[in-house]
Amino acid sequence: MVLCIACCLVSVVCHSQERTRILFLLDASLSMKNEWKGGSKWEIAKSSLSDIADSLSLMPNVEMGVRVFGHLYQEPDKNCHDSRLEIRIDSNNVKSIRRKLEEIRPKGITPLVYSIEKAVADFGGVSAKNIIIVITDGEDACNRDPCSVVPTLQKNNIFLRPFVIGMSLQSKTFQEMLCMGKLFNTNSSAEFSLTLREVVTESISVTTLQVNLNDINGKPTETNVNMTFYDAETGSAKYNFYHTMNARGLPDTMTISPAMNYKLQIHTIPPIIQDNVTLKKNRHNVISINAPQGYLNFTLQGIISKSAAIERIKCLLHKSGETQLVNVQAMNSKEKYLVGKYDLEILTLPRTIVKNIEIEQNKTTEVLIPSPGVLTINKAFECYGGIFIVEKGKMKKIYELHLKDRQETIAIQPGKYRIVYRSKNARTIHTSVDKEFEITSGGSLSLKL
Amino acid sequence: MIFTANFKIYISGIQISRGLFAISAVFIYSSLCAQQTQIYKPNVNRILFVLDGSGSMKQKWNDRTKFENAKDLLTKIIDSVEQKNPNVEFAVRVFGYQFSREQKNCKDSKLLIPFAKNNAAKINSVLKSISPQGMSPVAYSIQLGAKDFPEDVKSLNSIILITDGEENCEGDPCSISQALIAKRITLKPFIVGLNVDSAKHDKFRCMGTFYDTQDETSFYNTVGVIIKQTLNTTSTQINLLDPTGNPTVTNVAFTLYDHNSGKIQYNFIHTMNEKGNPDTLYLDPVGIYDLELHTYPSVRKENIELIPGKHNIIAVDVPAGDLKVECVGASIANNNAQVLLRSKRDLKNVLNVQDLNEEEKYLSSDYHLEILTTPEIYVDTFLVPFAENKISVPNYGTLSIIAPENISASIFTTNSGVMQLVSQFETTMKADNRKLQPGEYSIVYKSKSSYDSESTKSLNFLIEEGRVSVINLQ
Repeated sequence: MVLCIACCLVSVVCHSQERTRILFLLDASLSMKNEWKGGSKWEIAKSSLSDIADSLSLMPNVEMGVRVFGHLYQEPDKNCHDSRLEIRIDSNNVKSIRRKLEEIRPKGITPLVYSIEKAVADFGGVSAKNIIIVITDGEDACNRDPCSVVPTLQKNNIFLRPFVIGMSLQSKTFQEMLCMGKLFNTNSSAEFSLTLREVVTESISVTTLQVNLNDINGKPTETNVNMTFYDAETGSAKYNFYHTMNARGLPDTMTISPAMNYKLQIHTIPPIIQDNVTLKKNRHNVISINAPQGYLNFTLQGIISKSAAIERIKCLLHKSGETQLVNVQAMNSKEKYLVGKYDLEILTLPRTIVKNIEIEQNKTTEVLIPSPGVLTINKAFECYGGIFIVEKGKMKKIYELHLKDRQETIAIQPGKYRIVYRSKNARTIHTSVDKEFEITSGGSLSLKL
Repeated sequence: MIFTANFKIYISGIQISRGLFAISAVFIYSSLCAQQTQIYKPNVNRILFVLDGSGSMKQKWNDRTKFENAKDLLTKIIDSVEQKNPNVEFAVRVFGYQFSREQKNCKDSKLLIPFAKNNAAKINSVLKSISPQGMSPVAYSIQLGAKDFPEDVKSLNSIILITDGEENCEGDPCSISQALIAKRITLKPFIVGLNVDSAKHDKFRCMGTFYDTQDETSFYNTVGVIIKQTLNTTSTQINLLDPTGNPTVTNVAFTLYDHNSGKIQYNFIHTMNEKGNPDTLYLDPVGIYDLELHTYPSVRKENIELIPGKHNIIAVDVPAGDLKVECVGASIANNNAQVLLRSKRDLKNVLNVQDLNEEEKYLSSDYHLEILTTPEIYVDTFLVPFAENKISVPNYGTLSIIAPENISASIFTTNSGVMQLVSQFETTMKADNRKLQPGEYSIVYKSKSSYDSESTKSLNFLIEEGRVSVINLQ
């Protein structure tokens, strides 16, 4: 079994020129003395780790080191700085690792987060594929937030999340530690050694991706949008990631299987599709996509009467000259769009058409609509008729009266209108009424028919 | 990241300061009890005779000249009309009588008797003193004749030209006459010929309504009929035809425009009278009309000429049908999804915005509907005329999101495997409720404070019509 995994590891690593540096972070707190079937947790962890170290030592371009915590002070001392780099990250150190592990006796507490923070310095700022593998049986004993780990590492150019292998973690602890990285829990000797091997295999062969969403200046500043990776062959969605800036303000690194080609969809408005995304195995891949965006703010100007009729005013966005609907934006809201020219159809009465609105990088284009007035029509009888606007001398119907409603409330843009109506039961056309009225912005008008 | 707001677009170009609004939000009450009758009824009828006094009028009808016959008969008719109808005024303009034909005077035209009530005696005495001799400046006389009418919007003006021959001064009576109608000065001129050569009839027909007469009796009768016609009420009926050709369509608003100026003349709602027939309109018979029927889209019929003093029937095909987008359910009052209609031939313009469960009329055609539910529903449909076209959409369900922290979230549909963004938003720790159409969705979310894109999670959920789906985002 061990041999076989070693072969796999070797064959994978052979393709990679990049140096892989693995730091094992080993829990030597008192509780590691607890018994599992076949020995104490410490014994099991130690022997599995020694075996893995043997396999790794055979591979070129792989270096390893060991940091241990909870082994220098007694448990009652509650020393939250009980953590030491026992074996520096290097090649040809498997013998020293074995020897050192034999010397250590678990006895203290679990300064887990502190140890990970110290691990940053253990990599010595060397640019390589730097990987942390944590082996622990409990939560941080020093009241530190496990979720702070990822941003801390990102700030120090360690973009791969730690692999954390738990030994009989309680389920509450497991939930709390999920944000630390890739978390696994094990409950037996066999499960532990298998998981450790898998984690090491994965960490060596890991393929990572960084998606740069470029602004208009070619700088990767755009973010906070969902991205879907589809299997290019089957079309099925494989990954969804919110594009995120890491703690260094750079596009975050994601781990993605290199086993297939992807179609990448960036869910900007409108969406961006990038076909033929191919990843180089075992490498850090960077894809750059132009996704320059700006904002459109759609607001009413002036006093806004509180009326459901006004809340219904929406803004339809189309790409300039095109008919396909890009988005429906609610009134008094701000939304983000790809830069470019858009046509707006605003569902005021009468409709407001704005052509060739420009959305520019990082800027907010303000669309200000004069606040409509609210027209209330009270009818003493059922009426046929409509509201008209005179446009280029022509009567244009903008609203048809609802026959059955005795009262109608309509939001209308400021301006002059005509209402033409007659009673449903009238038997002569000369009861038709043609009347002009004027609506002021933010005002209200009541018409009695 | 800092975003600057340096692009302001002011729709309709009015930037209004806040201060102004404090005053404008006044409650204005207006009552529309006032009824407009819109029945055309002139206070006075003015009729101008333009009488041919050219040399050819010396020809004889029986034992007297055409001119003598014409002036005697006119006096007789005018006298009898004036006695019966106090609201009529006559005037007489004569051309070709002042200069001999050899002088070829093409400006020989004069208003001999201006408009006044009870003019018959005066007309008789003035006409007695003149005799025909010169040219026929017809166009010139009509042009001057238009100015013989006093300015009075309440007057119905007519011109009756009495002649035995054509224009011989190189004028263009047709275009002069058309300009007169365009300016709505008079009815289309009437022309009474005194035995005019039939080859010349067409030239008269283009300037107005032409009648030729062969003798005194037919002349007398023809002029009498014309005067009666100008005094009669002109009525109009608009028949909106169904596919069987019957005028059963009604209740549609329509506008009548002046064809030449484009001005709005009348607005009505089409009505059936007690007998179930299209109700009669009384329109100003002067001018040419364009009719616009306010269906969606509107139907236009142009160049409508009314025959004065007669009942005119204007027939228009209205192949319209009703459209209703039906959506039922307990919470339907809260469903304010609008329905946008576009003609398939004009996808760039919204023809109308309709509410759910409201019925509106459209011309039969292919339409593209956008129903602004979340997500939007698109329907392409052919609207069948004279039928209720019904499209049903399900009512929404409610998604209630509970999240222990502020999250960024996107909701997608996954039809045919492609993730289609439905909405993206950020939630606070408060419960977030959203209306969604029934169906399967996927929500992709991440803690707002996380630096880790791999902490993105997704969850599939189902929305059922009228029900609340609660999802808890850990």
